[in-house]
Amino acid sequence: MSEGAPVRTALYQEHVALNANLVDFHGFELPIWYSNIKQEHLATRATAGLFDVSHMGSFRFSGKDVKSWLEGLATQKVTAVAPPRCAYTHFLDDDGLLIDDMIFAVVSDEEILGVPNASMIDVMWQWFSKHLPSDGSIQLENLSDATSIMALQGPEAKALLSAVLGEENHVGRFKWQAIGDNPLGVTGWLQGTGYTGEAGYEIFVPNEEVSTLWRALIDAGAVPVGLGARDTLRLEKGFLLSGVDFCWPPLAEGENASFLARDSWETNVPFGLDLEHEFVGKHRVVGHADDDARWWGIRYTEKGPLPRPGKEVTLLDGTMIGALTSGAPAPSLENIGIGIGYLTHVKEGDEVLVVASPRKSVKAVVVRPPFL
Amino acid sequence: MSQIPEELYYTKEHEWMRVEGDEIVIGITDHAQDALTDIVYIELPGDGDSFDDMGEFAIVESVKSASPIFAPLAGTITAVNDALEDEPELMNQDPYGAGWIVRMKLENPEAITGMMSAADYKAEIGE
Repeated sequence: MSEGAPVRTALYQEHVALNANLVDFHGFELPIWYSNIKQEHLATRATAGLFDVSHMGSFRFSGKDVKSWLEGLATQKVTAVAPPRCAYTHFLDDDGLLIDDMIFAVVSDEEILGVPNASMIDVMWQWFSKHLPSDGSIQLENLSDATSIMALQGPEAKALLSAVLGEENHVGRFKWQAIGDNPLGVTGWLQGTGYTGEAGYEIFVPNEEVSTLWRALIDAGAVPVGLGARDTLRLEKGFLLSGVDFCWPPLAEGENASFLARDSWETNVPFGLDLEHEFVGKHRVVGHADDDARWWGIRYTEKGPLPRPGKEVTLLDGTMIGALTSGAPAPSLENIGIGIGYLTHVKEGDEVLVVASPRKSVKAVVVRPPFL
Repeated sequence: MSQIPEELYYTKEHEWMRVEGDEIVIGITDHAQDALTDIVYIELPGDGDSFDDMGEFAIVESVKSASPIFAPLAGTITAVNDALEDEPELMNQDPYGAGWIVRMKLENPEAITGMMSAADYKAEIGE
C-alpha cells in the first residue's frame, strides 16, 4: 500500500484549507494534527471532534446465510447480533493469529457492512474471498474507494449532527441507520460507533458528498482532529490498534519478530470474543496457560521518561516480563504516563517498572484498561 | 513568526545559548517549543556531567515524541534547571527565560563565536 505517492482522501483539500500537518499513514496522506494533539484530544472529550477516517475500508457482505457464514470466521457471535446493531470482532488465521479487528453493522439478516483497517483492506479482501462458499450464496463487495468515512465523536456530537442533518438522523450507541432526507441532500449511513470511547457517530457517505457535510459540521462547531489525538484517545480507552498492538502477517526478521503475532485471548479485550461458537483459529485462543503473556495496561505512579512503544517492562527485582506496544502521556489524566503491552506473570494492581530510558526505570501499576 | 532574540547564539538543532561570564546558558528556541507542542517531561543531566560536542544531554518529551537535546559544544554542566522536573511547560511558556535547561562551562570558550547568530538562525528556519 505504501509504494508510490500516498493516496489522498476526498477531504484532502479540506485538510489543506485547515492548515493541517499531513503525514503518510499506511499509504494515505492524512492529518496528524491541525492545531495541537492535546487540544484536539481534550476537545473530543469535552465537546465534539471530527475525524477523516476515509483510509479505513468498507466491505458489504450479503446473502441469505451471511450471518452464519461470517460467524465461522469471526470471534464474535455474529448470529446473536440483531439488525440494526453493530459489533466488534477479530478475525484469526488458521494458526489462530489475529489478522485484523473490525466493527461491523448488521443491516439486515442478509446484509452486513464491515470496516477493515486501512493497511489490511487487501489482506482482508483476500481472506474473505478465499472463504466464500463455492455455491455463490454470499456476495462480497469492496465499497472502500467510493466511500468516505468521518467520525464525529464527543458529548456534543448528537447536537451537532442534528443541527446539520436534522433530528431524525441520529443513531444510538452501536446501532446502524441509513441517512434519511436532510437539508444538505447527503446520502449514506450512520453508525453509533467510533474509536475514541466517546458517544458519537461514524458517517459513511459517497466521496462526492463528503466535503459538504465536513464543512457543515465544522461550521456548526465540530473541532477537526488528526490521527495523533485519535491515537491518544483510543489508548486511554484501551482499544487495540492494528499494525501497532498486533501485526499480521508476523514480522519476518528480528529477535522479536513474533512479539506482535497474537490471538484474541492474548489481546485481552473484554468484548468481541465468544467461545460458544466455532471459528477459524479458536484452538489457539482456548489453548493458553494462565501465565502466558496478555495485553495489560500500566499507569505510572511517579514522574519519569514516558512509556513509549517498545519499552521493556520488569518486575521490581528486574525480571523482564514483556514490553509495551502503545504508550503516551494521557492528555485526559494530566499527562501521566500510560501504556499497554504484552506482559507475563502479572495481575491487576501489581507494581512493575518500565525501562523508559537507559538511565531511568519508572514505577507503574498494572491496570485493566480503560484508563478513564 | 517566532521570537529570536538578537543577543543569543543558536544551533541548527534549535537550541539557544547565552554567554554569562565563562559559562553559557542553554535552552530550546521559541520555534522548537512551538513545533514540539506541549512538553510533558524532560530528562535532565546531572550537575557535573561532561559532554562532547553534540553529546546527547537531555530528552524532551511531548505527547507524541521524545526529542534528544544535544550539547552544542563540549563542556561540563554547572547547573540544571530543576524546576523543569515539575513544570516542563515552562519551556513552552518562557523558552528564553524560566524555561532554560542547563548552564555549562565550555572546554573551549572561544568556540562559541563559531555558532549561528540570530540572523543565521532566522534564515535557517526560513523566517
